[in-house]
Amino acid sequence: MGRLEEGIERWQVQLRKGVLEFVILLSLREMEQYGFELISGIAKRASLDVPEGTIYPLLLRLSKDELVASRLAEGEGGAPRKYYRLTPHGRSMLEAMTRSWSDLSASVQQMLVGENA
Amino acid sequence: MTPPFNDPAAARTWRDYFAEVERRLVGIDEEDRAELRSDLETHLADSFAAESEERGEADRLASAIRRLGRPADYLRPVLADQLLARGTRTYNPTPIARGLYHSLKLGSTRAATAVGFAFGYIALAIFALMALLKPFWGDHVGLFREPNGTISFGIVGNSSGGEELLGFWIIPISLFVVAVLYIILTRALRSVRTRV
Repeated sequence: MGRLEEGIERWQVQLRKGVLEFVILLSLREMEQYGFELISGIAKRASLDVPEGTIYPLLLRLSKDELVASRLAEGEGGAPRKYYRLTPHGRSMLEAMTRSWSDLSASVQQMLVGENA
Repeated sequence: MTPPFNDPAAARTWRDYFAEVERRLVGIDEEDRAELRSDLETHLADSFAAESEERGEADRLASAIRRLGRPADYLRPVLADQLLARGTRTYNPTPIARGLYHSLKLGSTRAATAVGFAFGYIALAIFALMALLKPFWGDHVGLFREPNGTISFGIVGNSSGGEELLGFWIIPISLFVVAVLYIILTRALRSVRTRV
């Protein structure tokens, strides 16, 4: 692998890790989900190629920060599953993050257009 | 929540994986450890069940494990964070040192921050070493004015002919610096911990 590919790969890993918290909160905006469902949805919709295990330490931290809450409920086959949902504080944080993301994305886009013009 | 495997190789792979998870969770709070282990087991069982049953159990489990990732990679951030949280709360140097070590291994911003703090704690250790060495190696530890007028401070190789300016006062001064630096560094580490 060349230096350019290595550099891009490292940058992409950091970028994905950086937005994962935002993407988790976004995924829980509409409905509660259990861990496997959540990460499968993220992989399908956001193409975030991060190890699935990454999500659990992050969910633990989000729970401690009271941004998400969980409850145990019976899943398919009777095994208990932990369902995560956004707390009111998590919802407020998501709104603030969404504004921040839109601003950042617009600024970067503006720079990209400027460079290509 | 272990799936009922028919293939002994798959059962062994499952046991080995969670033995590795347990090893990586050493140092994490008991409650968080149980929660993470249970979440990972449930996830891997779900992921395994979602694989096509046309393939063998060992193959399906290997694919599910590949997607889940290596415990060393995804559990290190939580371990580093908890060790630093515990160390900076109790002023205990052991979890601080272990937390900095794991932060260094994580790379990126965390590593840069960890390097900065590691240098700070090394400087602190040098002051502590000066206080310890002064009674036994007095001519080489302290603040000296050399015959040519230059000033040397710390643990010096050769101070022959130099005038010692602080004498044994270097011991309480060094210990005072160690205490103040330790409190400042640990409080600073506690405040930046959540931002890296």
